[in-house]
Amino acid sequence: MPRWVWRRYVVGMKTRPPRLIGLSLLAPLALVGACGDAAPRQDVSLTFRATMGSETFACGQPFTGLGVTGDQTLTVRDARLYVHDVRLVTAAGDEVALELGENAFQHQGIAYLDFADSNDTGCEGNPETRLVIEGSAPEGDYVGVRFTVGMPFEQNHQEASVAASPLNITDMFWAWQSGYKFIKLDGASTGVPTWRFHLGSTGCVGDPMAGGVTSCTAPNRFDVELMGMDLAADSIRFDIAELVSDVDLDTFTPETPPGCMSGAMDPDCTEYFEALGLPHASSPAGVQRVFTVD
Amino acid sequence: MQPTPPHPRAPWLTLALTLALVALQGGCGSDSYELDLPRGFPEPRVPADNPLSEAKIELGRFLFYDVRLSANQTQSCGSCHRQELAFTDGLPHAVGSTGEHTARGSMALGNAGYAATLNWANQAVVTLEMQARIPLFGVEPVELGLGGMEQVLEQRLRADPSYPAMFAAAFPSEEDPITVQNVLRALASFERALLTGDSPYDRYQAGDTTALSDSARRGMELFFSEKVECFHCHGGFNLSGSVDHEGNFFDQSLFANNGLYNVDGIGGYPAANTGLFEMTGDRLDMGRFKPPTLRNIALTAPYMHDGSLATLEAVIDHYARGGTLTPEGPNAGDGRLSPLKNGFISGFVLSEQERADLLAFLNALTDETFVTDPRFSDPFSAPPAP
Repeated sequence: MPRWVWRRYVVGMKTRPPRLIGLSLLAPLALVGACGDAAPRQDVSLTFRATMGSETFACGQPFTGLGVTGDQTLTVRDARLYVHDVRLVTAAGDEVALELGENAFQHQGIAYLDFADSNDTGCEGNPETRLVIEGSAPEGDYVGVRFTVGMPFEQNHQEASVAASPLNITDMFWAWQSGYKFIKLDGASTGVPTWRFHLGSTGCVGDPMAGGVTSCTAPNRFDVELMGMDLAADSIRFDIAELVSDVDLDTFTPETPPGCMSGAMDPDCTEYFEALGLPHASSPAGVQRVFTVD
Repeated sequence: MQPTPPHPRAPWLTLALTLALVALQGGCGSDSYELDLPRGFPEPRVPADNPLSEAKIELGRFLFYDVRLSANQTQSCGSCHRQELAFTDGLPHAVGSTGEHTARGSMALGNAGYAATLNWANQAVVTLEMQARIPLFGVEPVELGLGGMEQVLEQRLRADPSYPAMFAAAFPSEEDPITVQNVLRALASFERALLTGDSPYDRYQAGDTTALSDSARRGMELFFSEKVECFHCHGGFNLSGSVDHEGNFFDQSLFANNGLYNVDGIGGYPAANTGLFEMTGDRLDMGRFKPPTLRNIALTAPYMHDGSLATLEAVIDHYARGGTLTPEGPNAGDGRLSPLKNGFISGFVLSEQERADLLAFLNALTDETFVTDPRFSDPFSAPPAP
């Protein structure tokens, strides 16, 4: 195909070989646009809704009917996470990067989501909430969304040079494991008064000469794919009840953090990780079920 | 209502002098700052995005001792890192600003700029900037407790009469230099300036044969001998194998199991302190900790990562035995029989005289100028009575 059409194709695309169907989608855009960047784009806003099963999540409020017994109670006071590499999926199955606008909640393709307003009763964290990811993409017919939960490796382990919000939120620093908390949930259950779920990369190794982390044995990022979405009408559900559905919320292994802080050696983490599609200890990776189309 | 910290009047003079010095040097970060390295020390590695300057180091000193760097304004870095104890606190575990205990003791900060890795058993934290985040913002345990309070911290610093000018002098190219990132950079710079290399041992090495007693000299020979083997993990210019510096091309991170515990008969350590195993999950890393510098060791009791050996005599006994026996309790076990302990910990026999000599040498590693140097002292403490 003509070289300039190939360039247009590659600009918004992930690493997939060109296909005739995709090409036919773009050909009209290529004809409409001038040479290069003027193809029409559309603004896209992805809304997230945190839930506790069938109920909408509210920070500081106890929710019952949870956990492995189905009757445990959990109050979550702070709930936030990072997401990156957001892509929209066309009906044909091709991916297009959603280019995120830069603001206090989004930087370098990383989006910060926050479901807790600390001004509400029993809630912690900061007063800001953030329930949307905002960006733009080439005009198109999109039926799905893909994203990766967590921080990309490079930004996860950059240190002093990273000052832009939302990467400078100290509550999201995970300094002991050297990186950020990808998901931060803090609260209390009946049996565990200081319960935490902190997801991040573990087993990281630093290189003193490079002055930073070079690799992590357990990156703990996970992909989410949501198809069959009406981007204008549907939101994305983040179901905390599903995350803890196999967890015994009222106990934790002695000498480990209460809840789970991603310790590779912490047996309490296995059920949380399994719900997120992450491998843990000897348990293989599964399919994540915490994020769904709402 | 918390009492306000004492207003630093004396430091106004220091500030004025510092700014004058910076002005005389031509300012604008155009000249590179030269550390006054002890004899025989290599150049430390300094991150490219945080070059040293007099103003930055001085700012770091103020921040290091400033209790406003804790949420409840009761603790500073200097609370657990006291200059007179070579920047330790004399405790087996540190106690944070809200009363939570750390699992391990505060580490001595002399020559911290040369550590290949920071903390007792963390292979990922390789710069002082990374490390400072842990006590400032960590929650497990809470130490200074500033998590989520970055704006409060910045407001406190902006409201101070001296800090705006000090930050401007330390970060002259930045329009709004009072940021969390610059607090970390300044603290790291102050730590890089904490150089210690003027002990009687150092003076002996420099040619002063009277600097060490005969006993300490014999102890030095034992220390560096194949009989006692201390130097394998505690050798080199910093008396620690875990070092990094400008001329280094190999990763010299070092973690070793010295046979302190054996709670399960197969080398296990107490669950709260499994060492590097906690990060890697590799059984061979069970009980592996960083061998820290032995400089100023006489001032930094109690010893080992958990302060479980109270005296240097007990430490020598531990190594002479080839591992510690814990006779009873939850951590009972014989470290000497640990299959995971380092191969150099095989025990040795010392005569009474040799034991005294080795102790004399360890005591000769104290650098009195370092622990009294006013450049590293607390600017907020009351000036001496006239």
